[in-house]
Amino acid sequence: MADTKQELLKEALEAKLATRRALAALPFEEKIRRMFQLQANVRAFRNAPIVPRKP
Amino acid sequence: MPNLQIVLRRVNELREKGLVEQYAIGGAWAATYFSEPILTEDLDVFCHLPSQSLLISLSPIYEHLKNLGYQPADGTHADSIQIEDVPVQFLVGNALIDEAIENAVEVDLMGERARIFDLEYVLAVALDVGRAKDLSRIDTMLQVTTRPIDQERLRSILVKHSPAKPKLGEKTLFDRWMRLEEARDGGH
Repeated sequence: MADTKQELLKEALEAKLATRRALAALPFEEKIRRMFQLQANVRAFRNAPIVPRKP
Repeated sequence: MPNLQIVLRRVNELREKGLVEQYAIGGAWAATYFSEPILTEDLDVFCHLPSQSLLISLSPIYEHLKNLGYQPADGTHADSIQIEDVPVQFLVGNALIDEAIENAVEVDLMGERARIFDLEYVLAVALDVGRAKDLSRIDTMLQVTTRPIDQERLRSILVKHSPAKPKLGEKTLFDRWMRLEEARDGGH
């Protein structure tokens, strides 16, 4: 069980790396689908207004 | 999601019609093949043009695609053509790119054949281009890849494409790689 900050940080980084490796291991078609999802997210953020739109 | 099968079919047709001699996909798509999904806006298709061409011109490719009803992409992708909602950029490159095309790997994407730069060439080309996003992709691929990087092959590519006598102040590809590795070692 992690106790110190260093151990907790190491655990978090290892978990993140494991997630990234799992993403890399996906079939190419699925990775491309996720790449398009990333694009859509960026576009949505870019096009979002700074203040709420008037109703 | 756009119909990638049609996009790749259009690219493969260029070869069948003799408009390109050979091609390979590079950039973020190739990096994504060997690593995790990487954000990009367009598909980079690097081409060997037919050897009988006296001038290096991509116009016949764009004309052919326009005749099929595809339009140039707009906004930040003005140098691309929109095929099935994917901005596709056709590019010709230097000797490193030519070698990357020759040594590309063939993959299957949605039932359509596609040629993609091999991992060591994805890294070498990203280092050669050297923009912030290319260096970031290198960092990603150094952390996560679907197969180990063949360090010997990579170094051989970098040395081959580094001039023996660089100009004053010029950093060769191999020098840049060594600096990048030193920076990474220092950060760990």
